[in-house]
Amino acid sequence: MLSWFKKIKRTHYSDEEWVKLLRRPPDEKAIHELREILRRGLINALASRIKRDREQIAEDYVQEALLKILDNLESYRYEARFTSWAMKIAIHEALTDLRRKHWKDISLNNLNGRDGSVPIIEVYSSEDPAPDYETGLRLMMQELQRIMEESLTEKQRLAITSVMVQGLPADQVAKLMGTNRNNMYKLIHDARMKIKHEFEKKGIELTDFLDKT
Amino acid sequence: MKLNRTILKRIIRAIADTRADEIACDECFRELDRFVELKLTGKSAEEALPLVKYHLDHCPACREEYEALFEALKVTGKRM
Repeated sequence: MLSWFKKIKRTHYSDEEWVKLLRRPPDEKAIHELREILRRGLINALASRIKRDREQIAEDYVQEALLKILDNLESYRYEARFTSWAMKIAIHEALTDLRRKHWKDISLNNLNGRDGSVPIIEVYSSEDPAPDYETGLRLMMQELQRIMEESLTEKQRLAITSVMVQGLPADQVAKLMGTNRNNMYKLIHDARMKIKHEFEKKGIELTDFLDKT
Repeated sequence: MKLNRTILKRIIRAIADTRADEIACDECFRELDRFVELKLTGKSAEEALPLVKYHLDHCPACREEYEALFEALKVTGKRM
């Protein structure tokens, strides 16, 4: 791994040269070389996710990524290698599309609490519950339910329930709610902060629960 | 809705770990290439970019992109 930078430095254009060569109208040789780098990287990155037709699928994503890279050249900040930055865009495009296809059948109907209500959250009892622990757990869940009902907005409740409780992917839930993944993260972060503060106000130590499980 | 203990523990952990200074997905994405390069060169990416590390530990989609980028750059570095 230590030689990674040396290897990448030796045979490629400098970062400044990449940007210069790819400015419109882009240099064909540079495009060809970048395409090949992205293709090899994507095929390896997608190996655990796509078993069939991976090379063809990677080619399609490379084509889409190249357009995005050329359109966004001016946002490259020279903080990482140009090829690392370009690969980041290709990976993002590919995985966003794969997630979208995988979860294409979820709809607003799959989201619990879509009417603004809080789903009743219960926990499966353990096989041999310790009575004190079970009582504490039940009280904590009741408190979580109360905080969600009284302190969170309708959107926060829906986001928390869909992403954290149901485990649905944030970008797909965001799309259904008419927003994006970044805003969804902020929405859930604000909700987590509120819940945490409410528990603190009640003197409930969440880490105590985690330590006992 | 019934939860098993693993899911409940994950939710409680996420709430307990919540920090005021967390970064969201866009900021994580801006730093992701640098973070992966640090990892690939054996430097402590976690120390250099602790908020990125935190975000990757708590955002499954960004984590997936990080792991894929790591795999991609590992192989493109090798043949150059």
